[in-house]
Amino acid sequence: MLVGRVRFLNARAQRLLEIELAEGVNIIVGPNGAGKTTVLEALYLLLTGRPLRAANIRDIITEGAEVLRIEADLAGPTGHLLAAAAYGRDGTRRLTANGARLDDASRWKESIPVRTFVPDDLRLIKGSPRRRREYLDGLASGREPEYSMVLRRYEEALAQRNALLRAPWGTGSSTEFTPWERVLADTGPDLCRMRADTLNAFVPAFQEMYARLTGEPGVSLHLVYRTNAWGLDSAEYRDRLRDMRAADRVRTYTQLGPHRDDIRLTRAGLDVREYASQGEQRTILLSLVLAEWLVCEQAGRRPLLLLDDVMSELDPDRRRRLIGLLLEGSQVVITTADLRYFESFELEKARIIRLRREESRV
Amino acid sequence: MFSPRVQKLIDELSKLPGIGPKTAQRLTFHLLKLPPEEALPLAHALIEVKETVRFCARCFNLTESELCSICADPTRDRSTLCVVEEPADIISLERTHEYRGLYHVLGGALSPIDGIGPQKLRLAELSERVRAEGIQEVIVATNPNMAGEATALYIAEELRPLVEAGTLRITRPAAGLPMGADLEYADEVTLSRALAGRREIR
Repeated sequence: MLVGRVRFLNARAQRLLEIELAEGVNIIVGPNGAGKTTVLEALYLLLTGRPLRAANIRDIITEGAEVLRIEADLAGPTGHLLAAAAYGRDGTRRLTANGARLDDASRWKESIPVRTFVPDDLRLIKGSPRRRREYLDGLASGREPEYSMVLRRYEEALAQRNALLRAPWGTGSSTEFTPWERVLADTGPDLCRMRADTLNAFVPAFQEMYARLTGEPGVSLHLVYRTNAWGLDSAEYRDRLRDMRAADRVRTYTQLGPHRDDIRLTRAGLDVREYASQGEQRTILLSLVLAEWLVCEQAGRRPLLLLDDVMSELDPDRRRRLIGLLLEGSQVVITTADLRYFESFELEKARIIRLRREESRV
Repeated sequence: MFSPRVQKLIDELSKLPGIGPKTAQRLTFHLLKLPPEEALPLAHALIEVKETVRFCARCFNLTESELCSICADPTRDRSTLCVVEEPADIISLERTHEYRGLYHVLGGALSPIDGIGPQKLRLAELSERVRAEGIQEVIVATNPNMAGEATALYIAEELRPLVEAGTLRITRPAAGLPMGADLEYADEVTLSRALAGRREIR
């Protein structure tokens, strides 16, 4: 699906804005404070139900306004659809598709996968393992249809076992633990296997994107899956959980399992976090995002790519390479303060959307 | 803002499940507007129900006497016990007219997150009943969600010695597609269970 007309009301400094996105590359240009990033934020919120970056949804609502509204026309092979969302300051939300109520913003995840790159957000590389697990979950659920369901069951049983470990009434008896441990042993090994498979299949795309973006070979770059539950079958997994009950009760959490997985980003065996400069880390992060985007494109899912002020981060050579890549994709929105980052032939192929600071004060 | 008595009613109503402060306020004003002969029967019904209705001494169904109507019925099959989470589940099962045995109400399902451990449910009573009453089959009809499944596993574990001794059978109602439903809209779990539990067409 492609995003066409986008309208939003009360998003940060934008009281009311309507823009028309085209297929291919869209460049949003304007001075600082014109609300370029707000366009990305609003699109991301509408299509994923989650705020971009760490922002709270409430922070995106214009000061003094009660409700933020976002609407977008989505065009697919079977026709048009109007996706709309309203978020209230009081925490309420209302999502609709052609006026019909939706319970869940993940409705759009399948038809329009959104991928984003925000340069100063290096949390995927530097942040906690949770961030990288979420990234991996996103990759795996796009690849394996049953992944999300297995993950949900795993997480529910894990929360129950952890609550049992902490319960003051818990006796530590086997019958109390067995029901939850059976679910964990059913789902845990499957999660590990699907995560590892996903990552292995993804590494070549990551290496390719890095190489195309930088002109340097990417083969020494790797994503290494780290888990403490590798190679256990269901029965062994159950036995391990059982043997660890006493220790887990002392620590008050379950130590074994994919909820403690991590991904290590390495180059020639060295951890990227340790050896790479800020600039290099950004390039690697951008390669990761582009690789995900490539995988989506190859699967025919036509993702929407949102890039926030990425040009100022790159040298002219990498800029040219990046635009070349983007022109191959189905739909990209890129923000910039300066059109001089682009060559004239690139601009001819793109839709330019100009934002002025005055407009935002209407 | 309101007089203390009005506020008290609002507070009490908002303790009910599914009722927030705004709804409680609306209900309160509605009740205040009613003539006494329409409002007071509600109060009386509440008092009566709390004074007379209690749990059946045997199965923990709701009853107004020592034993519920099912436990007191001599025509019921006393060798089969159907375990349910709540008394409301009995009503659903009775509507089918398919089941002629007795019941046992647990009072919920295991969920450590909500502070519900085995001690909070009538699980010890269940074990005791099965042994004392010489039950031959226990049908575990807890809800087909994770808490219900876990509770079913717990019961199976507890009663395992009787099963191994050959004196007891533990079963679980079949899980599958609802009648009149479309395959297209069935979720993967339901569908895979329905396939695993498929039957010969005769």
